[in-house]
Amino acid sequence: MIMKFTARNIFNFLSVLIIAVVLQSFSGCSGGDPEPDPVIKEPLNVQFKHFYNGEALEYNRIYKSPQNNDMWFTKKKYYLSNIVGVKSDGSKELISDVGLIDASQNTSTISGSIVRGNYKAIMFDLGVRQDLNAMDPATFASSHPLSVTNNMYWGWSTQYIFSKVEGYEIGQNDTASFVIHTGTQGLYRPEVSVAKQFTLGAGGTDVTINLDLYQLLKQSEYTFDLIQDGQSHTVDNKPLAIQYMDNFQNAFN
Amino acid sequence: MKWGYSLIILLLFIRCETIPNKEQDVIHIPQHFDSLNLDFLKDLTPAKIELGKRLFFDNRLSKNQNISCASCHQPQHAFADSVAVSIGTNGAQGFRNTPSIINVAFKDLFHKDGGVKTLELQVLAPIIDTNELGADFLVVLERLKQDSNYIKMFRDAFDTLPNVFGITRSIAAFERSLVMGNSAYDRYILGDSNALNSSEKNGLRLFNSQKLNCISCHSGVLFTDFSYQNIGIEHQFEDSGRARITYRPMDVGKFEVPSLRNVAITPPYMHDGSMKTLDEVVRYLEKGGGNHPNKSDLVQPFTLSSTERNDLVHFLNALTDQEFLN
Repeated sequence: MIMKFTARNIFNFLSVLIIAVVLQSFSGCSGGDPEPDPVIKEPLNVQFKHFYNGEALEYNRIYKSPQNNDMWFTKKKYYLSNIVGVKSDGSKELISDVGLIDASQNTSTISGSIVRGNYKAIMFDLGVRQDLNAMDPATFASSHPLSVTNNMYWGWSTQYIFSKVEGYEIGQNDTASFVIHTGTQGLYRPEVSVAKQFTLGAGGTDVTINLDLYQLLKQSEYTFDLIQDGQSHTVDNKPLAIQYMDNFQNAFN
Repeated sequence: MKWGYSLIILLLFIRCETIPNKEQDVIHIPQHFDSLNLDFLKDLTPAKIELGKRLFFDNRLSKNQNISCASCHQPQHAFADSVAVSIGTNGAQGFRNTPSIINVAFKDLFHKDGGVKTLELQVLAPIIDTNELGADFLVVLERLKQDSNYIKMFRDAFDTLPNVFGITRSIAAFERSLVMGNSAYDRYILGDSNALNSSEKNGLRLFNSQKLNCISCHSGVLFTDFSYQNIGIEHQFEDSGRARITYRPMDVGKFEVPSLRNVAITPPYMHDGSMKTLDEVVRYLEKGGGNHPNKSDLVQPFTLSSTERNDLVHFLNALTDQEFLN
């Protein structure tokens, strides 16, 4: 059969084509597999609490050093990067790119929103990740963890101080200050994993991570004697700075 | 009417030719500096320079409000200091000799070890260093916000309230505005044959000679190639210099080759300020510097008569510019 290209025939053909397209689009909506639920994110607060040998950490409070001397802390601040929640299947959900933890506060919190689900760990890197470490701290607002107003930046090498711990220890002869400021990319400690089983559901949840500074100072591999060797700005005493970061990454629970 | 249109078009052309070059107007660039990278000019504005200048001389930027940037970078010493190492807000000594910041606009890396990548970042270093200004920026910002002049100047320069970004950018702008090249030597190479006397001319000849080899490092219009060299100042360097940044043993004791412009008014010399006069420096280099495994092969012994030595020092004196005193 030969169809003639009359105006009526073209009109009929286009009408059928439009109806077919419309019907197809309806059938597409009603048939097939159902769309998965949209990913729902919930707030997660990762709280960092600080202790010394099991006691809540307070600045200027007297504790016993690993050598059983009186000691006290005046500062403990540190950066974390790539803070993620690790789901039960091993996949990771980014909570925050970077956070600054200040032990002077009772609880220092890093917050973010990640997808609902069952989680088995919180993982983070100790230090400021390389791309962020190369940034100009003057470009961040005062409220940002990387702002220079946090006093965690070295001008001499234009890099962030990953960790500061400062305080005093009373030895047999005198009182010695200790200052350990660690930084530079070689001291970055990636993928510190802290086992935490939790379910993130509607309304979000809080997770607490503890850091015990006594556990940091006294480990089976190395125990700090801050009177004998307690001064490092990394470049002037790199072995101490390296040891500090090595112990540091094992002191969370 | 025809003449009227022509006149308007002519006036437009005249207008175009007399529009000031905004970049060139902000600061004067010596004509023989044209070969240098002048990209920095596009970010310079009078408002930023004025704000930076005020901050540069303001003691409120130091912890104890007792020193400013200018306390160590003194205009009368070509924005360097006159002591071996400068004294900070708490009375502590720094650990390196303060460099001149004249012509700092042409540098790519900062500090004698090259550890700082931009001038804006360099501005941070002395302000937060406890041995220098030792300031807490939050405190500094509160001080500046109490000053209505600063409120206006930050508004004019950055359209913000005082903040760290504006502090670093404006001080860097002021420092970049310190471009100077109008010494007797400059006038001489630009055609004034009487700008140098015979002793200075002989010193220039010696300076450029293969015998002394000064220009292997102190080259170009700025009298430096910005390389890092060890000339054997110490047997064991307390300050490891470039190695502080690179961690390479071969860089121990290497420091950036300084510009020799204004060198006569920036004593003492060397990274630690250990040499008091130019005569002492020349004599040190005559004997081929000191002994250190990393000492540069470019530093070789040479012999000068006392007249030649004086001529060389006279030439170095002819590199002094007076413009920064204005």
